[in-house]
Amino acid sequence: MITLRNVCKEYTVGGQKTAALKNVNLDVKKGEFVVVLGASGSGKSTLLNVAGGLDTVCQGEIKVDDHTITDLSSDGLTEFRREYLGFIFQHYHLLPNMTVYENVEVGARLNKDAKPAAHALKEVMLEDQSKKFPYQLSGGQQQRVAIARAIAKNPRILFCDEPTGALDEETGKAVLEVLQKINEQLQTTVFLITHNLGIAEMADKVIKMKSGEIVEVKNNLLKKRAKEVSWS
Amino acid sequence: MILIKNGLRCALKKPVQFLSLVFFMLLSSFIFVSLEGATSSVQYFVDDFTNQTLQEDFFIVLSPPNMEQRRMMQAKDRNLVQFYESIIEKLEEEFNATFDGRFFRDVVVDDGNRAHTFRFIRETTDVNLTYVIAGELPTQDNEIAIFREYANRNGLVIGDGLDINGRLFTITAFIAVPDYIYPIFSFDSPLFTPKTQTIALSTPVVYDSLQERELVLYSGFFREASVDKSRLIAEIANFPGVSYSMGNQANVRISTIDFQLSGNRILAMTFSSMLLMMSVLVLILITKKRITAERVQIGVLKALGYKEGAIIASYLIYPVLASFVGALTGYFLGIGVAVNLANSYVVNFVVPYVRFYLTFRLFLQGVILPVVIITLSSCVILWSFIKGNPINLIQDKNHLQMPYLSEKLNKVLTPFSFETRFKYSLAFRNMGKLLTLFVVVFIASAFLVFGFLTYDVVGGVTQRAFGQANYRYEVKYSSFSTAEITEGETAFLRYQVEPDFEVVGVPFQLYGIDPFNKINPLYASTGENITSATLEGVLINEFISRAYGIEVGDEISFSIAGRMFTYPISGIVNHFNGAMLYMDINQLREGQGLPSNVFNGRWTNDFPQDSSNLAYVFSMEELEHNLAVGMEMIRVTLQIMVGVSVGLGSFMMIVITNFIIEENRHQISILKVMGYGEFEVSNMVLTIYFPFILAAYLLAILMVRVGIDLTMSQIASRLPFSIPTDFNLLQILVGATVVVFTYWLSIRLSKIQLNNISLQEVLKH
Repeated sequence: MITLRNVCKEYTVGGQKTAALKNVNLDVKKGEFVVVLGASGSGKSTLLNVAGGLDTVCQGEIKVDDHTITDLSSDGLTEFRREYLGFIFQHYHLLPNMTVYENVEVGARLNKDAKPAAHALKEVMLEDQSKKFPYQLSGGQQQRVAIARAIAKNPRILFCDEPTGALDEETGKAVLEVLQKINEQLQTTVFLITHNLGIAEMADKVIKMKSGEIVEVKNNLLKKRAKEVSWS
Repeated sequence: MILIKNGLRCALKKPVQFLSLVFFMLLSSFIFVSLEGATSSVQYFVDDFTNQTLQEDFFIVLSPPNMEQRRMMQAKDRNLVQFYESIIEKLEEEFNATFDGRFFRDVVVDDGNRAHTFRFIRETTDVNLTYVIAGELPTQDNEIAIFREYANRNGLVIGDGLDINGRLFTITAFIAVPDYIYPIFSFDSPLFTPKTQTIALSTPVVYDSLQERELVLYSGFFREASVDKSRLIAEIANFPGVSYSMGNQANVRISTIDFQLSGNRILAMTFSSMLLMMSVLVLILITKKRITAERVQIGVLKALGYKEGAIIASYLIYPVLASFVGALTGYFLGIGVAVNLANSYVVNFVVPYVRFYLTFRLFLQGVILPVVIITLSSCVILWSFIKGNPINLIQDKNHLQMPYLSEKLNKVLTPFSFETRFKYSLAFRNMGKLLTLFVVVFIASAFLVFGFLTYDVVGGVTQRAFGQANYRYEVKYSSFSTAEITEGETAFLRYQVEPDFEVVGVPFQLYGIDPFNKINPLYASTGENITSATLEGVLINEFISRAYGIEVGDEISFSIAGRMFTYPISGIVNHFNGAMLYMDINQLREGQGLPSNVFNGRWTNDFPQDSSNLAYVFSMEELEHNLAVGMEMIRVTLQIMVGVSVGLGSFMMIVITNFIIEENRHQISILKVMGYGEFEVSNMVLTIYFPFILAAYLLAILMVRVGIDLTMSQIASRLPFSIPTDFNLLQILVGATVVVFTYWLSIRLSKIQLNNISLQEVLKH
């Protein structure tokens, strides 16, 4: 489903070129729950950005299904994200001026096959909070709204950038439960980056990164439920 | 010190925002310094000149002696001048005034191409003294002093010879006289043409030897400065032997320059104040943005123990530096322009010397005051933003907060479509920004509307004043006449009246007219002929209506020869120049106890042949030209304002749209990451302010109209005209098109910035 071949990415900072990704090769199958681990600066966010069509590569090829996204124009990438991807961020990034329901509606409007906003809210168990504004919700609830917004358009892949980074263990696990449910019930591929090693226990595939390179790819034969993972 | 360094660094980090504040301050200061600098320079030198030369407060026209007086003159062997002097003595005693006679003879020289008029004057000793600009006054009979303007336009210098009808003079001096600042030589030709007209001063022997007809106007000034001059001048007009009196405010030879300077000064002050207000608004936007972006940093500083004063001081560097740089640059640019502007202002006037007069007041008003206003505004803005508990600033939860009003407004939007809800919830979220945008666009639109209204103000005023008239000359007699009125002309009875208002500057002229005349029909702004409405009361013109805030249905009271009359106002004539009242001539005659056939003036197409009883003859073309010249200085100022308005309006829109994008950067990023296209994002974010911009424009039309009317009522005592504020549908549409086009253009430019917003922006925070 997602294929990366010889992908390189360089940034120029203060006139100095820094390699963020070095010759990365990766295969992710449809419906897999992938967790990317690594310390700060290891290149995991860059990997998410290029795989999600948010950033371009210097070299190499990225394919999602039959689409070579490294060949797409800016408009093409927009269409691609619209059609295939959902994003969840550490800081939720909800639209503060819109109610919970409207925030989800923003996502639902992007796809003809989208599910109604109310259904998406039900998936994350927030149907009774739909009229509230983001500031009236807790951090965990806000992240669940962000998930509802992302899944409302029925994305094939869900990119999650440290989705529990700002949450405590209990709330974080509740969010992970939602992601696991979506992955299992909807067969949505989840691509999650984190520095929380425990989360790797619920993944199908665990990728470890260091200095812009994939240093280890491990398939979990025995996945844990979200509420069972250790928390670090 | 470390905080101040941080403030400087911030200024350099966002150069565009810093430069926009610099730009507004520069414009504000530039406009003020150039217009006010030029105006005050001219004013200073004109005041100095008129004070030194004992300029008249008024002049009078004396009635010729009647038959009985002539018999007495013959019996006592007195000539006309002695007869007049006896009246003057009584006037001096009665009104505690100093009088002097301006005796003159016009010598016309035909050089083969055109006629040159040399107005030989007898030098006065008590009023309207002669000022020597260069050279020495003539002492020999072959010497002459003339206007420098005449010499310059005819290639003459001091020492050159001048042939006046075969008599050779040597030019020994250039002079100016305070009763001929705008030198109108002839009642039947009230124009100053510097190439062919000049005052000429030679010796008394030369003057007495001239054969041309001698005329005299007695001028005077009140010895006490604190008297009610306009009341006394009206009383002088009714003194036995006086047929007419005119204060220097109504005397175009003197007041034209004052009117222009007053008008100019008001425009300069209004315009630069509005620019300063815009600078404050831009400052609020920038400051709020900075504080919002750095609230965590501020919270940390407060938590560390830095006092609010120290933090505010560090943030003050930015506005103080920007305003000072802008104001100082504007000041120097303004001075550069003011020098030339001052000279262009006096091109139609004879004043002895005008150069740029640098005062500390100009620096104070043009640089220090704006910087102080900006600094104080900044202190208030900064304090309101950073006050409170440091932990609230550090936690940075504010970005999710919904103001109460915004939340309620959002609920109102519930029944509308998603797009509508999205757009307006975004707009309502930050009511402060919306209000600021509204005010800024309102001011920018007001400039545009003001530009439209005043673009052809001279043409508008003259067209309304003279466009419907079917006569070529307005003839005024020194005394009453009962001569025959022929077809193609109409008689009028004109009085200068004293209206019953607290403050009256421009004298009111009352015309008794034939209610059914076709020669000078009077029209309302609706186009309706309202001449016959004089049968039901008094017609006032738009100038009076706007200046004194009176309408149809109100009453107006005025005194003629000490008797008060009150009439209902039955119509408003679409004239914007001078203060004119019109009533039925028969009713006026009755009120004054005059026979039913007398009049003291006529509107006619034929130039009067008999000049014995003439007070003045104005030709239409000359009146139009005179009015245009009278408004020349204001026209120049208005043109500058129109140009700046259009540019500034456009610039403001661009700056504001830029701010909108900056403010909504985060939301734009998230929408783009989710898969919304550029077009959709710009449609959802950039176009939300469109209705508010249109509303601001429409409000600007209304407010500019009200504003001009209010301003005119405030300055009624200083300006001789009002500005027409009719704004027709076509103009409204054109104005709206300009505003919409500017907004569209600014959106196009902003889209470039929008497209440059990185998709990873949202991931960073």
